[in-house]
Amino acid sequence: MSDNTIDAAKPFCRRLSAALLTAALIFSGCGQTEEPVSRELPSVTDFSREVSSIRSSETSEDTTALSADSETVSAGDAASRQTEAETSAEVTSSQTEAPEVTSSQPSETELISAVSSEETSVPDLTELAETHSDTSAPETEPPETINLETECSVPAASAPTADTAYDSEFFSSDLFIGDSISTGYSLYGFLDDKNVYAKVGLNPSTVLTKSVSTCYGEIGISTMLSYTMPKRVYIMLGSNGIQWLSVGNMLQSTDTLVDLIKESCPDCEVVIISVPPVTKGYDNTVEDVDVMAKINEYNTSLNSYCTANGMLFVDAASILKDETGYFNSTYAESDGMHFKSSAYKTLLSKIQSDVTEFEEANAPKAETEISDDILSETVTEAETITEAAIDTFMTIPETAEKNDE
Amino acid sequence: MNKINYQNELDKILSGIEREGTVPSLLLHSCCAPCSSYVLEYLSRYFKITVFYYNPNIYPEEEFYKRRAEQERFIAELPAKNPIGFMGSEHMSGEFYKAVKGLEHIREGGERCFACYRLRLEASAAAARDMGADYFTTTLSISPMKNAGKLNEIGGELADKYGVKYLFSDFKKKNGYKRSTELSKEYGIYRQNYCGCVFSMKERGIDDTFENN
Repeated sequence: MSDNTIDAAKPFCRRLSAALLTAALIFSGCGQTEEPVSRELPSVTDFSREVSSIRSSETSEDTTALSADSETVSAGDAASRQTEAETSAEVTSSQTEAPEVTSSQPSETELISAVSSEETSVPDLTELAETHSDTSAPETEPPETINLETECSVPAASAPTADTAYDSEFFSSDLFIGDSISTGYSLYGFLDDKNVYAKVGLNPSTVLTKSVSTCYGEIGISTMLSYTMPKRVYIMLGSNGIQWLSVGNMLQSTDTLVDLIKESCPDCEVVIISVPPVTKGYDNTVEDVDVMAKINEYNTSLNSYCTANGMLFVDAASILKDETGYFNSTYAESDGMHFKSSAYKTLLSKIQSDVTEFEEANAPKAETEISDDILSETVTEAETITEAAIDTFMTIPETAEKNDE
Repeated sequence: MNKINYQNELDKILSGIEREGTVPSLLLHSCCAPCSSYVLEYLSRYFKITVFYYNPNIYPEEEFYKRRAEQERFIAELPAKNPIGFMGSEHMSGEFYKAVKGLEHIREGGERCFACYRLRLEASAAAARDMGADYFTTTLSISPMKNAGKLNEIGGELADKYGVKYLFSDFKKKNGYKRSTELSKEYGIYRQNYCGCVFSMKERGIDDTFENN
């Protein structure tokens, strides 16, 4: 075989390898919720290095749109979560037809084309099985993903003791806006599709311009708001963009989003949820940026913004962190950024608790009954004033009497 | 509950000014050069502006004079359709601590901040009356961490009290805040990382030590 033939065959061989690997992943994962797929994918560290090298060549905010962001680290994990959550899957090695009723799975296509362009050995994730439309919670708890080794091993975190009880009915009229982390609300079955407007890679700026795949189709945020008219809207955005957008820009975009929400739904309550933490391992993979410090800075600004504007700020970060100030690895997926299912429960419990407290504190004060003592004092005072007024007005001045004469 | 859209209110006033073909005078309270950057770029097309730098909240004193110097420099360098003057006060920090006594532990964005808004806006209203300005307003609303509704509410009250029209505004709208960060970079303006008072500095963990004045 000539060198030219070998060179020409290389792309084909890569695609064939990817297809074979994909098929192996699909058949090994089909219907078996105990067998996580993620360990077959390239290591998180490889993804992170690719992301860092891509991002270092970017200077403009306009290029943040999914071409290189931290979501690429978790593309594989997002896909594996989809496989874990389903109870049956259409198995195919070629592109499937879009389901009639779209669910809220994140769109991977843009991410994949960006990653593939770097000629990595990443399998083409668009060829993985599409999930079906049923996103009801699985009977069994999704299995824990295997913690892949990273360069910086993190000591085992203490088990979190935060409350995890929440009432899903409490959120039935609400809308959660977010990025790939928020897609987990519906993927894991904690919330219905109609309660989630989330997409891989979304940031405070792109949420205003991008469309998102929802149960109503691929729509923008304004349309989603008009369809759902939520009672409360929760915003959790910033994990994407925190590394290259300024705090000021993200705040401006958040303010614009809040305005848009209030114009669409004047009576709805807007709640801002802090940007979640990342693990120390994740932070160490990002060059030149202290990610956790920037998250803390942005969260402080969001808190001040909410106080200034009479809105509730839910400090989710505080309950998801460990004693070192980083994402508690008990809650964190192996990529150091995304949530395990336990984190969602803890977060929803925290949100429900904070919202309830906030709404009670801001409820219109009930009119108190006036006691009899105060009432009688008031009446007596009124009578005294009235008598004095009568004396004043009934007294005819001497001059007037003279004029009449 | 529907909020008042102060940007719309401002648009109406500016449209009216354009129709009349006049150039009214405006006393513009400014907290710092970065916040004033977009506001001056925007309003100098319609008004003769006097920037009023009165910020007794700023701590420490060196920071006050540093921001003042940057304010004067920016005014000198910004090309403007109508003239921009400057009127600066001395530090006068005692006024601030008197105004916020008892509110020291309230988080940034709350009642302590409202007291600070009132202190600075009242001085601005008085200065505007004394110099015969047609309007007065403040750059403070450009920050997403300031309550524009409260600023405009206080401004409206003081307008009645001092007999000078308040220019209702919410300068962070129309990407004003973002534009101010761009202008800050373009002009190399010093941009502080806390609002100004010792309490905001402490909340952000910028300085662990401070003195009670």
